[in-house]
Amino acid sequence: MKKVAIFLAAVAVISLNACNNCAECHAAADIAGAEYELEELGEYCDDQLESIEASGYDIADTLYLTADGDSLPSPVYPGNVEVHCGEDH
Amino acid sequence: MQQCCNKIIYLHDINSIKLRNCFTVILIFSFHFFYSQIIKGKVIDNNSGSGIAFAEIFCLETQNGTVSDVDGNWELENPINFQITLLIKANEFDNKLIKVENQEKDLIIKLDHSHIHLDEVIVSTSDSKLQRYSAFPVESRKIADLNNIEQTNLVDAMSNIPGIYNFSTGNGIGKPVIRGLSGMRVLTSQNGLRLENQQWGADHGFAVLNLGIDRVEIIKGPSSLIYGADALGGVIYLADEPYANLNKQEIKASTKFETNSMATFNKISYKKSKDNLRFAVYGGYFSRNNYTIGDSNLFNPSGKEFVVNSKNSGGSFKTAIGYNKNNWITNFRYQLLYFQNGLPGHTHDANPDVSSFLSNSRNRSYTIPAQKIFYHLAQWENKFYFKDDEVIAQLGFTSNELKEYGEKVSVAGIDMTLQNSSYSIRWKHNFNKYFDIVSGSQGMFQSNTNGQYAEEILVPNSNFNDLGAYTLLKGTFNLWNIQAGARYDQRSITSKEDVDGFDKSFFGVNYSAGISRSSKTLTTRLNASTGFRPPHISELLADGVHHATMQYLVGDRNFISERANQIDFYLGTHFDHLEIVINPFINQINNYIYKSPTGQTDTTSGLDIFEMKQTDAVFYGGDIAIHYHPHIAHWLHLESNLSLLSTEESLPFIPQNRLNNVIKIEFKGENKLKINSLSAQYVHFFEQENVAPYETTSSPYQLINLGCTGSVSAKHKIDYSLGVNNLLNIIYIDHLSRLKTYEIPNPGRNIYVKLSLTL
Repeated sequence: MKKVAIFLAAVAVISLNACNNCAECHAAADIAGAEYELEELGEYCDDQLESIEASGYDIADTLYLTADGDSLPSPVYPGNVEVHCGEDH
Repeated sequence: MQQCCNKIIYLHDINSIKLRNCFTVILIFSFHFFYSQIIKGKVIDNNSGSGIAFAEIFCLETQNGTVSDVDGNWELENPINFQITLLIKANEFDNKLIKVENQEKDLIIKLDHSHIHLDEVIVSTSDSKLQRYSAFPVESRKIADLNNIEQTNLVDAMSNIPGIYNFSTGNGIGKPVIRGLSGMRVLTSQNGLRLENQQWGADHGFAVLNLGIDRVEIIKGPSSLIYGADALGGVIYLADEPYANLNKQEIKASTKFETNSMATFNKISYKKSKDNLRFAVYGGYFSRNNYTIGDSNLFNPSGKEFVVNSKNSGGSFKTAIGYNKNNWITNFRYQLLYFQNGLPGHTHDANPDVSSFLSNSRNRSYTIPAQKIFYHLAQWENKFYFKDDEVIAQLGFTSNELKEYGEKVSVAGIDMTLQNSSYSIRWKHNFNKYFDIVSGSQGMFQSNTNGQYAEEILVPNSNFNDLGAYTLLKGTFNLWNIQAGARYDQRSITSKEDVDGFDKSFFGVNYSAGISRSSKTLTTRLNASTGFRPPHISELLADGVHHATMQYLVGDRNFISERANQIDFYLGTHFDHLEIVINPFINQINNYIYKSPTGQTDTTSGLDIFEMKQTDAVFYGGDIAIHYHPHIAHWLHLESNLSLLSTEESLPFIPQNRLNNVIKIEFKGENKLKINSLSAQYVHFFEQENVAPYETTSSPYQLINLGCTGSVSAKHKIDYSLGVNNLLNIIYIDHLSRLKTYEIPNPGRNIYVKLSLTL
């Protein structure tokens, strides 16, 4: 009985995914109805995640290429752009 | 005295004044005597007269029972003073319901052999009876039977019932469809507690987990009067597993693995019954990764494609406690459910095609868009039994917190909390052996509140008040059952907005009348009923983006109530080795509310604008079912059912007609590794050409599923189940898949293994 209980507890623990509030983020621009990834920003958690999603990201220089190195349909000029986090691509 | 009427036997023994006086004296001096009376008896084979070993004797009132010994003998402590209902079940015998009052001598219960197991008991229609004697179109199925070949979720399992379908978003979100109607038109009740979970949304799934649920009863159409407004499509009644047998305890644990979405499902339960007290606690957790679509190459493990963000997970804690004293039985139930559903079908591509939604890799990490749902269910039920009367009173509370994260991980786009407080009281009076009357009242107060930081207010803050009352007259004359009744409902809807508020009341008077005749070999039934559904506030006041469905919705505050008129006919023949059922119906719905595209696009969100519209609609069709059990091969079952549905108008999301065939082989044996059954299922979905103007037709497709169940002889009982769904790994898109719009296929081949341990 004791072994069974330990086994069941182990199964339950293994099954549970760790819970956290972190996500990978990137700066994004919407050009002609499509989203383009401008820059990978890395992982943000909790308050920092909330903050960067709310405030967006400031682009310092004009961008002609996406984060993957592809050409953008039109340049993105310096200024504040949206930050998208936790998307499955 | 014994009377046999529709297989319900009444035992009355107080037939002398002397005995009555004796009981009175005993009552005064020994109160304990009444509620500790032992009922005992024997279950025997009606043909041979021999005892039936391990028959289940189950008390419907207290939800527990006992098991007969190897000679068929059993005894049960009579839990209440007055009449109780016993359900007797045994392998290869027909179920039997008997009503038992005070008893002097042993109760001999005779069971008839049955190669085809016809009937489950029904409790959702205000009294307990076997399915064939119902004057309603109602089906009762054990969840275990529906999962003979395991399905990945509860709605998929229910879709094995004729006329029931799954309106799905991947394998995590399913909505039951009854005869073409779903969402707000299907009322879900769990042990009598009405479940409300924003079911107006196409992506707001069935918020029930297959945890501690014994069986489902489905009332098709608006024929039941005891559940209130809205149920134009029908009622899904979920009945919990019974408590542990009297003075027993039970621990169960199960684990299941599915290859398609690398899913795990783990459940554990503990039950104990001691004298008048019963207790049960359950816990469960599941996790699915993104599901795999089919492949035209039959075996192509390297070329798998996964549907992006179709992952989902969830868990639940559930408990129930029951107690009885004298003529009172009380049950308190609580359940917490949590779901986290990824919402597939989301892309930022300018010109998306199906490849925008598929990927060659997958991981379980949380990504958006997604739903997070916290759902609390609490219910307190009290039953009082008197000589000719029965009163059942329930108080219920549900709180559904739905958050949809569309564009931001940290801030929910939609954040709604729907709280529902309800009461229900039902009184049943038995006039004589022929007639019963059932009267009752129900009410609920519901409030919808949007979170302070919600970015989208699709449905405004609002209150709903429901009040209803009904009366039903039931009659039983030998082979005949009749039932007729009427119901009055009113609903007021008030938005809490200061500006441009909404305050309107809706009223409805409905009736239901049914008659059935059930002999040993033939059951006929005719039922006519009406129903009404006030428009939901989302249909009245919606004006905003529903990111999960990628639509901009616009309601109409001038809508009037939907009104349904259904006629349902049932003809069933039941022979020893053959059962044939024909069940046609027609359901006319006036002022049917549906979504229609406007052809316009919202300039801010870029999403297509859909308007709510009303029209008159007629749904008609039926089910044909055959169950053949050859006399020369009692181990073989051949079952087929054909579900047909059509509409006069071109309406969206009308299910494909379906032919469902199952071959089941049962084994008997005493090996250490025992196979109980092997099943093969072939399901053919016909082409759907009856589509709404903005819909596309759906191609026919076929699925082959295989399953095996068995057990391992060990110190403790171990059951196993393994099999495969979509054996041929075909690529298909069901007409009721919400992902059809994006041409995302349904899941491909899925191999499952399940182990259950009972201590």
